Amino acid sequence: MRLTDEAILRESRGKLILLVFNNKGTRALEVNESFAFLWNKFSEIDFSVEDMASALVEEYGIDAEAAQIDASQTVSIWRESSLLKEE
Amino acid sequence: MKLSKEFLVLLNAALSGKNPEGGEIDILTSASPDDWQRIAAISREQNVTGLVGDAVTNLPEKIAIPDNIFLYFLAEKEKCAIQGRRMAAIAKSVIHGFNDAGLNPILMKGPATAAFYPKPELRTFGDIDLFFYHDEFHKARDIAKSESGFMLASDGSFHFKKDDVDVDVHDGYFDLHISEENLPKVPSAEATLLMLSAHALKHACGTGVGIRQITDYAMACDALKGQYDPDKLDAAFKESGIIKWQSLLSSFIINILGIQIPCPGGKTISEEPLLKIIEEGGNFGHHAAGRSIVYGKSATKRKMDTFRRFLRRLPFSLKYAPKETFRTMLSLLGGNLHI
Repeated sequence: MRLTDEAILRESRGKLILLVFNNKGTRALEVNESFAFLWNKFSEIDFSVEDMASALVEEYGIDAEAAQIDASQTVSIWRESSLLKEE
Repeated sequence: MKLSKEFLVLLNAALSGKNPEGGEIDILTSASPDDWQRIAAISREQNVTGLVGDAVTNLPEKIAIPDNIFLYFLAEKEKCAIQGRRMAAIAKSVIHGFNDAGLNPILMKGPATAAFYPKPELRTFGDIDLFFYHDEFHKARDIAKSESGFMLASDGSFHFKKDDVDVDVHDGYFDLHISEENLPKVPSAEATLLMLSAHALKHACGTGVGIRQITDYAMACDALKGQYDPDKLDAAFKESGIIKWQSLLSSFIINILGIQIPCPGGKTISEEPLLKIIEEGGNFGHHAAGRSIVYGKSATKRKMDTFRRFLRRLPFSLKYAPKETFRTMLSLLGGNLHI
């Protein structure tokens, strides 16, 4: 899977904001640090849930099982929010 | 809609590239949620959401901004930047296309001024306007005939589309009804400033003028400081018969926008008449009462509405640019009415 190229992540006034521009209009979503980390890490490349879990383990030192759960939940959110381009 | 003091503080910050300070911070700190809604509404009406958005999103965190307003401005700023970069790339490609054919187009009106802003991509773009000297203009028209949406306009200019962007091509550089022979040579700093001033005047005397057309002139004047001869420029304003308009425009920029530029005769006059027009209709007068009704209607209905607005503005036009107003009326009587 791949992240949409219709969104950009910005940091402003201490907030992390994902701006989504598509044919439905513009959406602005305030996101947390781990969301932003994963977004920046996997923008413009193909990736899997396992890739995301490994990145979380490496970045935050959490155990593999917790990382897998976090990664799966994040993918669900991205999918529900139409932030993924899937083949 | 009246320009609020909060809006002007933010606009000034964007134009100067500096964050507000001192008393300006106090003005923003005491802004209520309604004041912030008003800032957003004015910015939309004046078509400066990208500029004001940049100022808003760079404010210190101690200034509380309602979440919805902050997110709105952040999105507007980014949207404007994406669009601005796209338009600049399209303009470049159109110019290169003509250059490859051995022609030398000159970018004019708004898009030509983006480079004068601290962040060029945040100046909202509309369309692309190009100028050719007469001997090249016809060759350019022949080349453009194969482009999508090609059309000839009643004033002799032509129009086509490039990647869904409107491109207007002119063989006159100044929105003035006089021979361009005695006016500053194009391209030059004096010509750029006269072109922008006359463009703002045309709209002020017609459907209306907004802040963005004024900031285009202000930014150009500021950026071209030292590159133009103020006496030569004043002579061009006199030659064009728009010296009183120029005093009004300069006074507005100095007194309302707080940007120090030369003013003909060295002293400012009351900016109220121009402020009234700007507040009445916003960007190109699009927000004036009744104006939105004519969009989507036939060209004749739009022309009639423009004509009515021109007539209503006659006391203003005759006071600040009598000669140009007279020449415009002759042109209108000849049926050459542009919207």
